[in-house]
Amino acid sequence: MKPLAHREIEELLGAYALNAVDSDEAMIVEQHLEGCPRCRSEVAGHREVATVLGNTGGDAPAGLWDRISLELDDAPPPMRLGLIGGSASVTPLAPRRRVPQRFVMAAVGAAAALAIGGLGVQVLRQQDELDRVRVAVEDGSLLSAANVALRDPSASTVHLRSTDGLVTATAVVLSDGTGYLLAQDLPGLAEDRTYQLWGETDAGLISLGLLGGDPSAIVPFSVGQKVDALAVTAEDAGGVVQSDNPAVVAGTLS
Amino acid sequence: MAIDGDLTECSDAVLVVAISRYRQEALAEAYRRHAGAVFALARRLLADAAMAEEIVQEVFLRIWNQPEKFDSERGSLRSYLLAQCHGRSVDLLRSETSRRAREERDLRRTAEKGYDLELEVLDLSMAERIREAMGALPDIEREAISLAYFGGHTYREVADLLDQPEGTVKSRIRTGLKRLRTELVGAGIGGDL
Repeated sequence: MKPLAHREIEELLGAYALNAVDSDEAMIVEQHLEGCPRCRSEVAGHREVATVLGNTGGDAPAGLWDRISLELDDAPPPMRLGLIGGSASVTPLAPRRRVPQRFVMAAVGAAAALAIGGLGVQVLRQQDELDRVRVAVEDGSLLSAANVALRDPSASTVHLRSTDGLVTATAVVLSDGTGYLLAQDLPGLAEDRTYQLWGETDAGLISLGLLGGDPSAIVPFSVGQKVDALAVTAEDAGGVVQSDNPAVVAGTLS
Repeated sequence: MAIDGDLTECSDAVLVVAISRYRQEALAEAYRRHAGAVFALARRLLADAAMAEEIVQEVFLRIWNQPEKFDSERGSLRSYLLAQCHGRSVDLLRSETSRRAREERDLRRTAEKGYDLELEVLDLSMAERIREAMGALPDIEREAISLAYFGGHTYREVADLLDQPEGTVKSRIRTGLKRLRTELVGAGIGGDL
């Protein structure tokens, strides 16, 4: 099929959003959308309208959930079990209810110290390690994505430092919550230890996930809300519910 | 809201995070909230309850297997699930095996008055407002959107059905969706549209 001009593709966006284009046209539109935020936004808008039309009520048939849950038992998702080498990412966890905190982030010059405690933070499972590797494997363009983020004028940059200033890391957080941690300077830990990434939000401290004991150069992560500061602690493998360990590095968002 | 707390009070975004942690009860809660709407849309498109159940199963297994595909910044979980449902239902509709059932369904609907606005929303006032918003569209826009979205037809097929040029139908679907958005927002529906 011959290439379409931008205006021709625009004319297709409504039909595309309703799944009313042929497969070859759908492919052309999807390729165009990858590089055109304006058209992506228009398609998202059309789909929201369609959602209103299609958002009808009613109950699902009895017994259907039972069949679905049986499938969950029989076929655990294979992708999350595909642990192979690669760089790391983290998966965001929801903030807990605000509770009395002993979380202190006292910035001393450019350095900061961190203590964490009394926080009901979700116990991170070993699954986090699998998740982060899976994401990294799926995303072969991590380096370019991080570079783009670092050049984004709307992104927030965090320079994390140890209290003695000898260990540093840099993180960049995009407006959509996507972040990248450049953690290549973090020293390797023993096999039974892991780094844990934390974010401070208005709702309290949240764990952003486990980084492993030897983070690769670029670690993608994601936050679902505004984060004022980031910190990395060293914990026992599997993460912690609460920690009194000092931050290895910490810093506030610019 | 803690993801290890009471999931019935969690936001959808938190539910998806819990799903990514293999918490089946989180998927069950998402199912409780949205499966009815997903099933209703699939059944409407496919006119076949058994096939609609297959679609529901597929949609919820997909969110279980690939929770990272859902981006809460780009829309609600229900919107995402319905979009998945619509896409898979349309795929099924266009498959050769379902062609006969579809033709029979179209024949039945031709005989049913007001097919294009047969909304089944439980909230009758909202149904009425959606009906009015659709009714405010020019006939060709309303018909084109209905045939494409609820009929699962491509715009080329819609053009044939309405005996209109393809370019006209393509354009009318787009302008109709834009107009409908304005009408829905004006009717107080979909403030986030």
